[in-house]
Amino acid sequence: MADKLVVTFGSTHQALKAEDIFKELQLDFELIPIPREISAECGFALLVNYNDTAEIKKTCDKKKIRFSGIYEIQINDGEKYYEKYY
Amino acid sequence: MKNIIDVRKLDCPKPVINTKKALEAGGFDKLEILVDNIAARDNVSSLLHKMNLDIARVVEAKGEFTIYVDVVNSLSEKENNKIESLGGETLFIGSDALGHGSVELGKKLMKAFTFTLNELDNLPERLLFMNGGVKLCITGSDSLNNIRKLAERGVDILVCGTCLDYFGIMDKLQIGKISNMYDIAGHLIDDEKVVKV
Repeated sequence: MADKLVVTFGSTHQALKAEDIFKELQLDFELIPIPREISAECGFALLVNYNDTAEIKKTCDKKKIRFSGIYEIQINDGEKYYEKYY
Repeated sequence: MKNIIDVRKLDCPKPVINTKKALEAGGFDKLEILVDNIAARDNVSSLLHKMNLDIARVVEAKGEFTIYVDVVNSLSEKENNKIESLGGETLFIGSDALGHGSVELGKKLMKAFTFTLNELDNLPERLLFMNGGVKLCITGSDSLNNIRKLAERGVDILVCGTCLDYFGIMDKLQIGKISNMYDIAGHLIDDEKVVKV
């Protein structure tokens, strides 16, 4: 089980909208640049200190947040990698 | 092997730069640094601290100081077992938003920027906050945690006192040393690499 999730979006505006909603919901998260391992494109993502991927997906669906991916951060041999779940 | 660095009669920031160069070159297990004034003693001590090195003792004689460092012992005691690499850059941050065009976007970019600084292999050596940039260091700032992490890892954080006073947020400062134009202008002129963010 991962400790942290990364949620990505189709556009910067959607990422910022999601940030506002996550803030309202008082989730423990940070606005970060999209990790290079996920996409070479420049954009924002949300790093969520929470390990329940399904629950985060449910929250996004309920709040009509249009994400492009939810990734679990896995550590393998000290190397960080991102496993896509949704 | 012992190495002696004589930085007497050198103007700031040469004593610090020469000490840093010698440490990066390595090849010794004991180090003695000779300085001839208190400012140089303090600046060199602060560099050693940042580089995870313990000062064994400082001996004063006739207004001059010798700083003794046991490089091998202090490093073997640390978990990290290596000198964390500080990149040497000084970043001048004159606004709470990164770039021009949209203030809203600029603030988000600044937050993502301070997060990313922590992810890089080479940390900057110093952050200078001025004008609206000082708002990043106060209660409620989105970037506060990221800047605090940098400070904990040895990055020097200087915040313009005049600016805090102007915005009426002196009492809200959470991280960094309150600094003045002499210090900040000094770093802009003397530091090896300065990048305006």
